Amino acid sequence: MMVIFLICVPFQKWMKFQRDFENFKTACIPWEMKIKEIESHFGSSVASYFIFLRWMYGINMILFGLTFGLVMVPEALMGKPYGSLPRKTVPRAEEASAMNFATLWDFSGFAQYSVLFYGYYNNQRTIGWLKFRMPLSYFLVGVGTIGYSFMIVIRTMARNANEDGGGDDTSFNFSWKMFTSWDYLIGNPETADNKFASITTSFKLEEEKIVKYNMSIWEASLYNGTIPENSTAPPIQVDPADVPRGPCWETMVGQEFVRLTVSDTMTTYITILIGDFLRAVFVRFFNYCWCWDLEYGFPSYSEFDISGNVLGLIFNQGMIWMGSFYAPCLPAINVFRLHTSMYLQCWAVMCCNVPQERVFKASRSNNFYMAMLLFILFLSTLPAVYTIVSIPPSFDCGPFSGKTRMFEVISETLEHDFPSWFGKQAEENKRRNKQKAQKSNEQEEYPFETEPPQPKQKGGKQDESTANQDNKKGQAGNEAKKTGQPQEASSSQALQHPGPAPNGRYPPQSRGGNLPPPSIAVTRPPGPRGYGVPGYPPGNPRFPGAQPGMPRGPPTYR
Amino acid sequence: MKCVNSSSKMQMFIKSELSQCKCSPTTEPFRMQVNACKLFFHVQPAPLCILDCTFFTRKEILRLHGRYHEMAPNVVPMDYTKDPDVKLPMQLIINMPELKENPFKERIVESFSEDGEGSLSFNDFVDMFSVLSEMAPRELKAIYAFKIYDFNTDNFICKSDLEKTLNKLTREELTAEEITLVCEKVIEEADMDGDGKLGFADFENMISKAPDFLSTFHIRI
Repeated sequence: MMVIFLICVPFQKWMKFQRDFENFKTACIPWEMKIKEIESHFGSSVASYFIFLRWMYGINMILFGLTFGLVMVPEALMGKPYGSLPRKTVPRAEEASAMNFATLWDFSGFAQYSVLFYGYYNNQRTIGWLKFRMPLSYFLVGVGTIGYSFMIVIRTMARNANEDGGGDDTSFNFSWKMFTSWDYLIGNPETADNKFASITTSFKLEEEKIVKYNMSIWEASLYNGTIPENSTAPPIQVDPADVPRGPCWETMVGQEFVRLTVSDTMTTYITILIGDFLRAVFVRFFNYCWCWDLEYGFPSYSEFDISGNVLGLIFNQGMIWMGSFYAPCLPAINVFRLHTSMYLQCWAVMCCNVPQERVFKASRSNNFYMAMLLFILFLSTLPAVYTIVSIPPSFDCGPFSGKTRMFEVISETLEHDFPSWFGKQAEENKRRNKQKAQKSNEQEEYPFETEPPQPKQKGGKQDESTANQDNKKGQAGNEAKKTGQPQEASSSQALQHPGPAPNGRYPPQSRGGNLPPPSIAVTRPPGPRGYGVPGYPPGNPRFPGAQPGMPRGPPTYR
Repeated sequence: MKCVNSSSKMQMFIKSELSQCKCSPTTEPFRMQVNACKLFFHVQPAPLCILDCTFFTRKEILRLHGRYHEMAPNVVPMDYTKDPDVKLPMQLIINMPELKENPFKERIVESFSEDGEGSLSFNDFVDMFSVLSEMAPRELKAIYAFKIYDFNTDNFICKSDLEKTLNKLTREELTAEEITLVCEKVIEEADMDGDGKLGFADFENMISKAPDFLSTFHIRI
């Protein structure tokens, strides 16, 4: 008896705890009552849009948490303050208008030179007393947001598919129509009338009630016509505001995405206000003094366009995924946008819309929307992945400046933060590269002389990263030399890649010879032009020498 | 789900549990001990609390009680400790906003009422919304859906039941030929054992494959 008591009581306490926890979890679900009200008025398909919106909001909160907590906050707290570096300062020429509302609305001026965008971040390996690895964190958060999004979309699809049970069966059409067509959630008489009518019609026509989704045309409202701005050509002085900088294409891209999101949001809200609300007001109040019945003829009250809204939501999320690597502020903006969307659309649907005449089935559409979302996710992450892997980052802005590729931050981390035998190899290679650099400086006039390839050390990548850093810094000091450098670059590359011929080119990796770090301010990206030019968006014209009219002055900031 | 089938012993147990659920935590250990003994010595496993009988949380049960009470404040007591035997007539229940527009509201209430005539005690009331909530499993919903659509309560959905269902769904706007056609089609599709009517096995086999069943057979309160 006592034994039973001793066993059963803790078990009961555990059950009670589980129950209380479930209570708490249910109470935490946001907007539940709102959605229930909409569901009883409009049926489960319109409510499914709002449930989808809420689910998106949850995802964006996580993305926001990652970007805000691991990228924006550390840089704001521990990074160098505004004004200490050129990349963190508004250029002198723009200073006058930097605080204007119009400039800030466009995300230029002070908004551009802040933690909101890629360009502000410094490429220092560790910042603050915590030795926080900023570039590594930026990279991992970027990859992590994509990975998390994939995981959650696929998991939701799998869950939906499980519940649906794979309904392609047509053997019970009439039975299902008879026993499952009435939506027990309907509490509104008008909706009920519509439902009765639609059931009757479908039985009369002996058709199945299959959902046909309209792929509405939404591109036109979502693209704006802004032209990317340039932020170069300041005069020379020591103040960071006056340091000439190269263009920072990542920030430009980020700004475009932010502007796109903002204008999309504005367009959606204005469409709701004019297309739904003003129309409803017009129909309601002018019906008394109009020739024909406005409520039944043209224009009548609008119906809630489920498919259009869902596709808009998916497209918006695609923009967020594409742009959040270049503008960490994008998930935050999207969280705000979804939050206000929820309230605005809940109000608008209850106030201005009428239930649809044709009643959709919501069940099978869930996985269709998820499939679209997965597809858009895949498409959106392609550009970011491409830039990480093959485009060199801007040379004087962002957390990856100074590297040949963004992913080199991983190899750098492996080299510096991992056991000593990694580091020893890296140091040896660094020393050898320095020697090579000095030698090749003296040998400029023999551009085609090749070095005997040195034995490849362990782990080519981490050597390459440090070697490339030296290369990069070195070539900046030798802008005048052109032709020798490609060969020197490839010969230095032979250190890490002993297989190919010494003058075998690796255009994406070659940044020039092994040259000492620059001691002067540069007005354009250094070194010979290979396939991808650091600092210029790919495809831009290449300038073989110093740009005219851009004198170099002494820097003191580096 | 023994408690939903509601034997009389279970009824008493549920009522006493409901009253005790509102009391202070100090009585809980003793109650759990009593329940543990019952669990061990009785053949039929007993639910340990009304909260185990339904899919609702404690807060939701109290809220349901509030709704039940406001339908007939003079009749329904707020205090259930004296084990009152109160039933509300069908007319009151089917006027609830959640059921008002449902063409099957009378059948729903009849299926959950213990006396079969449509008066619901509070337990029946909770049972009803519990089965119709989104937390109830598919099998349980299928059991009650079968009961609802079986108009003559002979444990088979025969042709006359189907005709009544169809008339309720279309508000009698179909012609007699169309009704006959549809009913024959349904029997043709779902009747597996060839007796010309749908037994529970046929019904369950058909409804388990229906993609919309869980989402439409759902009332939120």
